[in-house]
Amino acid sequence: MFKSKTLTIICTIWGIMLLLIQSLNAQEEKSAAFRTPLLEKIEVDPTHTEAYADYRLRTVEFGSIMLRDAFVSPLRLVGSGFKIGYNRLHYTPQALKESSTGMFAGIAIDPAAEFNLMLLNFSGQYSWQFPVLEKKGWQGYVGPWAQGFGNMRFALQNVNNVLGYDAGLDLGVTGRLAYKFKPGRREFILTQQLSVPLASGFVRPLYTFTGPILGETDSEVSVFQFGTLNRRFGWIYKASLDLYRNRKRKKQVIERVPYRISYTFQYDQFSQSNALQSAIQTITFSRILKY
Amino acid sequence: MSIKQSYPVLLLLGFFLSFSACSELLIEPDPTDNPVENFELLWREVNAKYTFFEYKNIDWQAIYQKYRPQVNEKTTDETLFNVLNAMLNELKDGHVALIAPFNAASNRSWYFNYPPNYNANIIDRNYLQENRRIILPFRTQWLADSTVAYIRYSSFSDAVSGESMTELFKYYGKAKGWIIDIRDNTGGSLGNVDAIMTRFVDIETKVGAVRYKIGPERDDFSKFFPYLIKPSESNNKYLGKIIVLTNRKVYSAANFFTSAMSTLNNVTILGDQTGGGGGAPYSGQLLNGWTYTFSTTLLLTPDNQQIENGVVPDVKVDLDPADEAKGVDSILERAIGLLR
Repeated sequence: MFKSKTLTIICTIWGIMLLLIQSLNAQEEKSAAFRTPLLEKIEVDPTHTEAYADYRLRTVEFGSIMLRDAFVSPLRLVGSGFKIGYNRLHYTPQALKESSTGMFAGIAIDPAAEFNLMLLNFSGQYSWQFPVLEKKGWQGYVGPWAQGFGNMRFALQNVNNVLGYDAGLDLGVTGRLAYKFKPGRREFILTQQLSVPLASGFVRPLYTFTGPILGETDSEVSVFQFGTLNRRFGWIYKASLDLYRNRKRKKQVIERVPYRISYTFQYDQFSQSNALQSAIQTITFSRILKY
Repeated sequence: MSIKQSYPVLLLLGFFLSFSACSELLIEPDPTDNPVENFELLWREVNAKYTFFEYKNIDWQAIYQKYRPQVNEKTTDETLFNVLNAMLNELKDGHVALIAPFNAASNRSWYFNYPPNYNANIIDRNYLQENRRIILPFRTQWLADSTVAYIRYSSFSDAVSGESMTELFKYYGKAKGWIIDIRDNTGGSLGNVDAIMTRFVDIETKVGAVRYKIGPERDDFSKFFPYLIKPSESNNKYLGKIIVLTNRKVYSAANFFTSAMSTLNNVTILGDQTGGGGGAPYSGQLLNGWTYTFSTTLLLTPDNQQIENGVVPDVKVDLDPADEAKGVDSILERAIGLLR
């Protein structure tokens, strides 16, 4: 179904992203004491870099999708789907290194349920965020951000089955603002994060037909569109609430287990030709694994 | 949990709701369902995606000026249907259709304005007869003292399997010639074109070309892709003389089959010109739930020529009314004569 050059491009982008994450994670930070959002004070010992806080989340997120694919239908398609994600936050005294990967799968239908479109979204993000604010419960971070992405859309259109896909690399900035507060005896941390690409490179065929007959692929066509920000735009907003759930035995708190409720809004847009807009929203509740 | 303690959850809920509204702002809602918006949507869709404007020399903007004043927000469903159908009829294309719960309309001028050149009763009673052999989806019979095979295929929507082609070869492989009658076959799946033709070639053969509309501008077409038929791995291939019978009601996939078969040296097309339909249809939906179809693909000859208006036969023969009155199919008889 994919042409070999398309596969090569997708694999190259993913490879670069993977190497980027590995190499940046390998760097070690050594500096003075530093507080993580979960309020642990890190005592820096040059010989024990393991002291740095490392949080991981494995998530199954549920959400909605809204999109308009001008080639498939002029009507807005709305649907739902789920996402499997993995998120890692590595706090060091100098910077927060965040990496995440995820795959969203969803089905969107038109208002009369006449046509449907299946969507698969793969993405991997990496950011290096520097603390810029720490004041009265507020913590702010800003830093460079990179994203590798790939999308596949499949629609059954009469005798033409339409496959659209795109893959690319975004480079941009991310900003994170966290606020710790204590209503009563409980502790919460509310975090918002916005990631915006400033430069993008992508490939996007217009369009591939897996037809004209279902199951026949002899007449496949791909016309590639290459571009940067003038042809693609998007952003990711995340809001999360970290909280502790106390585990008790005989009214004694024996363990404080951190959990996170998180909400993600991801918007992607390709302009001419055959304009495409998609908005994916997901929400999840998951335990924070701390190392 | 007290009200104060629930603040964070409410705050997060607030973000969720506000961003839900954000997607509504970013991806504009569909226009309101009313006759004017439905007219506009259909006109725009055809304008951006239809493939034959230049070939048919159609001024779609002028058609807008002609029909748009006939629709306003108080236009009834019946009137709107008639106006939209009249507008689509300007395309003179059998693949163009408008489907509402109370009516479905499509252009039929491609066969209504021509002689039928096919009489199903005569074929059924005088040629297939009672002792026909049915190798689904084909109706078959020996003709001309069991020297010529007659194979009737009435719709490309009826799936052709490798097994049925093997059975055809088993019974008729030694015939002097095959007559494949596709008159009144209005098309279906192109997959069946491949399934049949794979038994008629011994090397990979280019029998056509395909081109796709890939953007809204008039010249936003893909390059030409070859339509190739690969020979079957089976030894059961028929490389003898073949005559394909056609009339004006041969359309779409059947039209392409005729064009593709005409590229083979051992094939003669006999009868009337086919009805055309040189594109694969695309479906869409209006705001009121009505659906429409029109062509967004070009199916072409191997040298990239249009077959939208039909394929001209090698031998032009019409059904003779005098023969027809006697129960004789003069087109089929001519084919038998050529193969004897």
